[in-house]
Amino acid sequence: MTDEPVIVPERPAPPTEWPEMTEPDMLERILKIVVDEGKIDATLVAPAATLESLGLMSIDVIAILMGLEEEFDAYIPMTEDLSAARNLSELISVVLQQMRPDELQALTSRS
Amino acid sequence: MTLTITPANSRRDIRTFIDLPPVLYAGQPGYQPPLRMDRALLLDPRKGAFFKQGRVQYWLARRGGAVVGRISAQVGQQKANAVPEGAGMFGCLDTVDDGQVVAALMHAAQDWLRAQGCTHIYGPMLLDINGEPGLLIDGFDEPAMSMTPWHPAYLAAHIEALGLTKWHDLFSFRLMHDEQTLKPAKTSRNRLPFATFRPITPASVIRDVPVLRDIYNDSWRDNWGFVPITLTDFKGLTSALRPYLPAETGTVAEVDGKPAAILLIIPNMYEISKGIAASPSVLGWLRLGLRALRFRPKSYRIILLGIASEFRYNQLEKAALLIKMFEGATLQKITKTMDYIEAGWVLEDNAAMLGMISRAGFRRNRTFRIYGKPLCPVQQKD
Repeated sequence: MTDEPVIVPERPAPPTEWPEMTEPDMLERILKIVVDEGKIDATLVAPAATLESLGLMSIDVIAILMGLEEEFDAYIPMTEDLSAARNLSELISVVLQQMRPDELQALTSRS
Repeated sequence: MTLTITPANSRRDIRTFIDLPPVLYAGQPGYQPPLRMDRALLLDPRKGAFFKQGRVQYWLARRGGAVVGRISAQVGQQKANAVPEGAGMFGCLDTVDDGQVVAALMHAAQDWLRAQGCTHIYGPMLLDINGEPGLLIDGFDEPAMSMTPWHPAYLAAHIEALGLTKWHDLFSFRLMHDEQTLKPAKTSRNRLPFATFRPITPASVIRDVPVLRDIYNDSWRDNWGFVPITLTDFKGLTSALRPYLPAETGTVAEVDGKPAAILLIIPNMYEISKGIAASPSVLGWLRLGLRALRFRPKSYRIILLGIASEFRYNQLEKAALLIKMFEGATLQKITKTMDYIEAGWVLEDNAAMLGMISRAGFRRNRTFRIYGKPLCPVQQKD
């Protein structure tokens, strides 16, 4: 036993905004795929909505990834960061980071 | 007329016990008798794998000389996962529509289990969860399927009247050819570059039995009711089915050269015996033989799908592997020639598996219920 205080790491506050997008309609397109492929109620979609509260399981996340890859002609690897995403904002943020830059470029030039 | 319950121990009584369901259920919509020789492989004490490790007792119910019901009580060597310590099973419950018969048979089974030191009873199981578990409570008119139990609708009410309650439900699912939604994944990208996939064929299936057994015992071990399956059980199943298996009957995924996941699909053997008595006549055997020679199954069952716990990748990679196994080449080939395929059984709380099956377009077609209750200790008389 020591007398040193126990430091409890502060949990980040739930996000209130979506990650910044490179294109104006990109968020809309992503959320449409999240709703369609994840088979979730569109009224529950919010940055802080947890995957658990939306009933999204790993199988559903894979379906969303495949939908996003098709929509954006991109490749999104299944990294630990993606696996650890807790809410929709984090999930989308990791997806945006994981998309290959050249494919993001392709998206920008195509739009 | 007096109802009598007697243990079925003689060869004659055991024969009567095995042969009873077709006698009781003949003509009931949805009932197709299994071949007697198949039932004997499970229920004959001289042949059944369960008898090598478990204790089993059979009873017959008779009224006015007619046999009106049967039941078994059995205790396995291995404790089933997540069921109460000291739980023993009942099974083979088949009776006429008479609550008194069910009550008397259940009474006999409970007394025997108490004498074995059991504190709970659960079932029905034929003869354990690796055989044909549960009482059919939904899907009575569905076509018969390999290793899938059938019971008349009235049995559930008679069991529940005795204070047995639901412990767990198991579901099976069906995908029709005309509503086939199994399409190749949207992207052809290889999400699992670390995994290789090889088919299980009729030529390789015996060699793959240890792989199937090991992954089954590993990946199912946390499931409710699980008891390990033996090599003998698996060899019995695959040897009996081998002549009828499709050219590609399953898949083994390997990671770093080690088996990581399995899929096994079997043909519906009830197709061969449809319209033929459980104990066929000479003509019946001839028809069976001809059908077997020309057998091109139109219905199948996904009987095994699992991932080894050793597979230490993240949850998304596990999910991707499951999807790849489920919707992979084996199923794509079979769906081209089938009328329908069933998947099951699946535990009602296996959310990941239920989600994947429903995503693939399967619809629930049967529910099997496992009942249970504590056994009251016998009151000692002063």
